[in-house]
Amino acid sequence: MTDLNRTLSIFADGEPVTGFRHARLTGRDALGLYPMPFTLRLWNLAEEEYLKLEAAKTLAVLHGNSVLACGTVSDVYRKTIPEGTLTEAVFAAGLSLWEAPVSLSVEAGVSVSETVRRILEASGTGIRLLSFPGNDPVRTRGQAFSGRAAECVEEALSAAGARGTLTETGLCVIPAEGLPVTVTLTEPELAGAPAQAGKRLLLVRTAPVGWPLGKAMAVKWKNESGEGLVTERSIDADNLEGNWQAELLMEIHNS
Amino acid sequence: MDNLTPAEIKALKQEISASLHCALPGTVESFDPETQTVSVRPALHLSSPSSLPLIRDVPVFFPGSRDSALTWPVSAGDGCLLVFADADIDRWFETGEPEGPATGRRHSLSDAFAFVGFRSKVDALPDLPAEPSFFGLSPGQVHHTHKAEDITSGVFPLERGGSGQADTGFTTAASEVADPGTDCTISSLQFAWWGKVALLRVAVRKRTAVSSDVTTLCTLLPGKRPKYDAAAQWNWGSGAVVRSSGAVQVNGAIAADSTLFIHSTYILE
Repeated sequence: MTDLNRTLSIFADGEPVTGFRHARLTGRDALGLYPMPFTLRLWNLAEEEYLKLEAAKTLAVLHGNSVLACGTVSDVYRKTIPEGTLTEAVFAAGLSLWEAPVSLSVEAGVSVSETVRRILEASGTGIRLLSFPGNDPVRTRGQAFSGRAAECVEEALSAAGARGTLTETGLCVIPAEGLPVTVTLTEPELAGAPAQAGKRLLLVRTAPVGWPLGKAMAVKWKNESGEGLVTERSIDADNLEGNWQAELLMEIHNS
Repeated sequence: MDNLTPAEIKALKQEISASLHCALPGTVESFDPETQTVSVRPALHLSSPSSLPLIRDVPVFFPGSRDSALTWPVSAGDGCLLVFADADIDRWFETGEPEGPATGRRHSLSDAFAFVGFRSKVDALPDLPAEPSFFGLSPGQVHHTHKAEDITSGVFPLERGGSGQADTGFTTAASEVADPGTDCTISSLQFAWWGKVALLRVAVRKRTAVSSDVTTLCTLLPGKRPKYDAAAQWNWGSGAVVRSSGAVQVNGAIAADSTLFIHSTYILE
């Protein structure tokens, strides 16, 4: 897909990164708390901007006002190529929660939402639970959590049949019964008919914006339609050349 | 896997094994006789995080069958072995029925069972008897043999559907007597009942060799929530199902060759 506006805006710890001409963002993200990395490649990045990037803890890449990818920086490295230098920054949402160890005992009679709050607090990441829609059962036995905070949260959420996803502001809980449809994609926004395999629907969008990972979405194309949950998304966006790829994978609840 | 380097495969194996709990030694912090569960502090520190959390509501293993069980007192500080189930045991623990797991957790710390009695070398039992010991249960009867030369074997004559009174005597031996005049414990007097009980009162009394006086001076360590009353008797309410065994702890001096009687009044349904 070609988008007339190919501008990519980059922010390192909230500060704009400039001093480059060519940038490319690639990566894949999925519903859940496993941190899936995005890679940002910058050609011939100015030295002071490279140092800013190298020192950054968080990175966000925007297209217009839409956040294409954001997360905790795990690696920044630079190599020399025939055209000059190539800087690569690897970052992932939820990396801090994934890497935070917790050791926590929760007594019987505590709800799933309260359990998740306690795990997040024990992680020391500052990530907070935004809301807890749907079923919130109270556990009848005590629970013990040890290991990666993200995995402990997922284990706790499974008692409610729920899944979690991280946004810039905190942890969103996606209940088993799903959420009301908030986004509708129609044929002009799709590059061709969706590919369906069982209960999964692969959509290719015409623009890599408005990715509602974890939100319910309706899709209408030709004489068909479906509703479901966006469980995966991927992007390949280059500010100078090539087609932009923006794929969404949906879990279909009805079609 | 083909694309992974040996270092990545090793890291992956470590990642998987670190989150898969099989068995750990632990120390009991508290025991709830109502639910027969313990809270256990794992006795091993794994690399990350440095210490494992307190594990609560862990079912304790008391060997037995549906209608009988061998129980013993469980106290804070007891050593145990924790074994972790393949899947969430919460629903099974609530109902006893086979059900699907409430969560997706596998080999979780939250799904432990405790085998109380495992000991480290420093807590090894002193003077472990070399002689054979036998404790057996059969319907309506308990058989106990321990150091045959010290204590006679006892058969507790409770028959399903029966009623009446029974005395079962055990003769103490010198080796069982603590310093005369002080408290002593005879923990090897084991007993058990089972069956649905309409009435069961139990008291332990002693008769000395020189006196026929009967003095109630025991503490019964219960296996199944009996109610203790001021007359040193343990009363099971009507309809209670007694499947438990216990140990007798005698508070007070007992002369050698005294006879302890477990006296019961019972009606079994």
